[in-house]
Amino acid sequence: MNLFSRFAQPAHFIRLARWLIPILALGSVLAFAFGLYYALFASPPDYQQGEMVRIMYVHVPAAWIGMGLYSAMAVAAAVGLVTRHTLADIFCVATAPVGAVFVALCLVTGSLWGKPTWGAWWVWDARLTSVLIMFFLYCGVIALRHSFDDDERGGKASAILLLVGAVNIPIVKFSVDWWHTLHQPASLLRAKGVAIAPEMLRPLLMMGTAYALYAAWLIVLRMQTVLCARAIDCGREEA
Amino acid sequence: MKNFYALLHHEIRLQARQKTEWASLLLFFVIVIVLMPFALGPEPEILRRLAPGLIWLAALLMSLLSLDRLFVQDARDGTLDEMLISPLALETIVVAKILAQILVMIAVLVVMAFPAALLLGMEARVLPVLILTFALGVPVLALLGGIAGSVTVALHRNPALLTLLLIPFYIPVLIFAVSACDAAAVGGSAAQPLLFLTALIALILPPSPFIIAAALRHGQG
Repeated sequence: MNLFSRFAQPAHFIRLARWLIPILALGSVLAFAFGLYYALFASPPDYQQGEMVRIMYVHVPAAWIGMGLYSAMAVAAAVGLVTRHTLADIFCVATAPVGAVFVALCLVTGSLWGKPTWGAWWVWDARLTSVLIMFFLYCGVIALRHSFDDDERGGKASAILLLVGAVNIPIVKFSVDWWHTLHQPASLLRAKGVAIAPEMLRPLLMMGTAYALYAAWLIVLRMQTVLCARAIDCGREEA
Repeated sequence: MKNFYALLHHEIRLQARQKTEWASLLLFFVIVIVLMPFALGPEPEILRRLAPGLIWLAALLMSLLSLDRLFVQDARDGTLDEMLISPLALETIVVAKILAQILVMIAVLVVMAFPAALLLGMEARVLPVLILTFALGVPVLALLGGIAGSVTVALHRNPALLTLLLIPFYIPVLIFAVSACDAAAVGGSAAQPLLFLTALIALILPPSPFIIAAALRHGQG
């Protein structure tokens, strides 16, 4: 039995989660403390935007996590449809609202950043529109799952929707390269190397780590809750 | 293949016999178009410029309304169970059903494009492009609608949910169809957006019969 299938057993997972939850909680608190200090105090203002640039440290990681969680859910949905593994489905249940909130956070902070720098709360730019579509996809996945009484059917239906909606992921990622619009192109993951000053990159990566740890914490906690809730439901049906 | 044509023929005839439903959809389409001048003001210049977008919006809303007829009726009267135990592949039956829906919908929209264009004062040279965008865009709408319909078939009627699921996927069709018409309106070449619409068909057509069949099997299982 390999490591993956060992920890993919619900009972093993619960045991693992008991360890993971405090570690992730502590890690995300520490990462936020360091990240926020560097982002708000120990990094220089931008020569054009001034202090406004600090919105980047909350906006960009939210976008990373929102997009990353959708991709992870799409992978889990595919694994779940093929292997019919419960834990894949539970991962999707637990992750969808978390991802939706991160995308919403990305949209809101982006809007707050757009008003002073672009002069508008919202523009119909390719990147903004595709992220908005991703938010609707998250909402659709959550709504579809909750319209079924049966967990298993709801899980399958939303897994199919997740996979179909994965088309949007490359569109979000490459929208800034395919269409030349207002949103600036990628400055971190790009062919010509990182295009961002190191003293701004450090807080950005710290905040990214903090967001990732926080999201992982929430997801493991929610997965544990869903597993327990289902176990209780099973017990009730038997009794 | 013979079975497929027989099915297709049967489905088209079924669609053609539901005259009252199509009539109400047509009426809906016309009413949406008629409402536009009230909402936007009757200036002919504005309406002429917006006409392709408004016509496509009406078509999109109409297709949303016609969607739950695709599988919900079949699920209710037991046809879906017959489809599932039929010796024919479920994928074949699904393709026949959706193809019939596509053909009837294109026919209806092409007929309705003329009065709608007239009402909004659209330029005559845009009309052929508009019809071409219907021919290329409606298959994408119907296939996406089929996917959403098959995923929600086990649910009670919930049009708001279907709309929420579908609208994100409808946006690219709307963008390319309207930009093709706009290019034609200013006398430019509409080739690029039309090619994009064709690419959307190429993207969605191969996987969708399998997705729909899988969703139908899971929904009944």
